[in-house]
Amino acid sequence: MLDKNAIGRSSPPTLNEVEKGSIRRFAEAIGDYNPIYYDEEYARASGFPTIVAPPTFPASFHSAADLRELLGVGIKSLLHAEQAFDYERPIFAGDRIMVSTKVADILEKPGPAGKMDVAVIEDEGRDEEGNLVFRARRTLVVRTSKELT
Amino acid sequence: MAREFKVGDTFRHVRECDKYRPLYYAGASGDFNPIHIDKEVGMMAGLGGNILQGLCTMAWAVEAAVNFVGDPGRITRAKVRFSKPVMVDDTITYEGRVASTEGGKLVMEISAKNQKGEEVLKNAVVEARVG
Repeated sequence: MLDKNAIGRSSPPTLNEVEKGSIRRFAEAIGDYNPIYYDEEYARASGFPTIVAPPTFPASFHSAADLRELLGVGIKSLLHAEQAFDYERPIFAGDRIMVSTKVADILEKPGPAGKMDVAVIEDEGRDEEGNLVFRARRTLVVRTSKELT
Repeated sequence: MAREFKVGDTFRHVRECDKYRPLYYAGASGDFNPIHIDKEVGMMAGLGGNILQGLCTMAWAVEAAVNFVGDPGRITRAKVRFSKPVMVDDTITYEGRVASTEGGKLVMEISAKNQKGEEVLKNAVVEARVG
């Protein structure tokens, strides 16, 4: 059983610098060759200040959060069940985004083999002026030791 | 001229999870969980092999919506539930449908099925600003 006291635990904001090369590598990794992710002139001609990141690019951001520490369980015992991103604006090459992570909720849900422990983790990205850029919510299911052996 | 989107408009996108895809995605995202990159670990976990990162399956659903809308800068929200792991050599077919266009917001519902017709995502929704 996860400790409900973990709700509200958070990590300090960590700087993520959005580099063109990282955007290119991310787009290549998903096999998306839309020139808006690679070609600066094309991005400008499309009305953007510079190269844009694919919407799920925040998946590559790091935060100071250690889920084992925040939740008190091993990473390998967590299954990714749901994901949501909300965007205030697109993410651009050159952005400097502060990312922090918090435990938004811990709950029990009925599962195929009895009750499951579920943790909702929320990442928040803000620009250097403190304006919200995106929110990401991960729902993680804790696998029981039986499933792990 | 602004493009018109109507409720019921559809789009389709097909992606294959080739053998190296989980490795590429691990490199770009930093998600090196062994369950994604080590076949033996996936076998030991009872999954029959290594599985693709769910966020890559989601990235393709969002890509489908971006291609339809024509502009990644318009995407305001994306959410999915991972209902079945995507394995190496799976082919995922995404089928999207415009569910609503109210208030300058385009709501697209997307289904994602493997070659056996099994849903790998549920409740997948991408929203975009239009107009």
